[in-house]
Amino acid sequence: MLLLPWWMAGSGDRKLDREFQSDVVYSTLNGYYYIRLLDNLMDGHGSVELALLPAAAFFHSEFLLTYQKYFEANHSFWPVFRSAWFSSSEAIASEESVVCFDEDAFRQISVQKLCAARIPLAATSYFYRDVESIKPWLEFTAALASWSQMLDDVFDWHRDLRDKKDSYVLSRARRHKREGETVEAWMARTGFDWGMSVLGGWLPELRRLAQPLRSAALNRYLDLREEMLEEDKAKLGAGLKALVEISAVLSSEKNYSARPN
Amino acid sequence: MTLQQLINKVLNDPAFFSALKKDPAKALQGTDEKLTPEQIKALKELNYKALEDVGSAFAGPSAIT
Repeated sequence: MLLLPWWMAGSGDRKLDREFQSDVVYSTLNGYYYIRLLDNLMDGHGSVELALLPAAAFFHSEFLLTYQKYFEANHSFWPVFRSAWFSSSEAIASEESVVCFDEDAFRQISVQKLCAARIPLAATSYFYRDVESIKPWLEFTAALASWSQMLDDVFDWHRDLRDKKDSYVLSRARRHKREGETVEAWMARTGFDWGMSVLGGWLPELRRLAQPLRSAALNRYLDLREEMLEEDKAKLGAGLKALVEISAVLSSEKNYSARPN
Repeated sequence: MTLQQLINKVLNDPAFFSALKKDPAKALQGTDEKLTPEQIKALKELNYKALEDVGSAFAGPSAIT
């Protein structure tokens, strides 16, 4: 998400303003830490976050004040800022209240959660006076937000289960597991493969939305993500298959026939 | 041993699988598993290297995008 405004600024043949881009990175990092702090506290992944909570004032101020160098108080940038920033906070809160995710709820929440990414993108488009470019970049960012959240859900399933945090993947597990089957067993038997196939299935949509953005760096990023996905699918799929095989060996008929009734 | 127990082992006690590969009967001592020679042979032939990747992917630090 940090690289999106950089890629947006560098798309086509535009000459980059390095000072502005550095400021965007600085602001975005502060915004990210602010969101991370709240999000970790809300989803139970926090360790030192409660003690660090007063630092949220610093992160929020630095995130906001950086843009005041570039945009007057009545600039069109600020309504975008306000709307995206409020929606982001609302999403952090509403994720906690969702008890069962379907795909629509998942997409809506994941897009909302990363809607703060609209802020540096809007700033970049206004700074370079290229307001028309914002719409296709936002569409791509929304699709990338869902894809990235799905990736987190697939790889964090065990931590989410341990922390009693629901997710699209865990909701799916609870709906589709066999009678008496645990979520863990469903994930090993079929859930991981399902998650990886969803991620693979959403990639062509990302590529389609990336096409009009004319960013070679963005396309290289998508290539890299696809390679990593294939690698993880093969590597972890083999590990989970080995677990299912050990379980099958240990629960084979011969094993049970050796025991007294 | 159930699949759930095995998954908990791979995430919390990966050394169990080194022991299982080396000497399945010894690794399962203290459990109610009584192994036949066929089961011991089958357990020794599995892909244990792939289990390390499962442990580090699902039990390591949270993925942050």
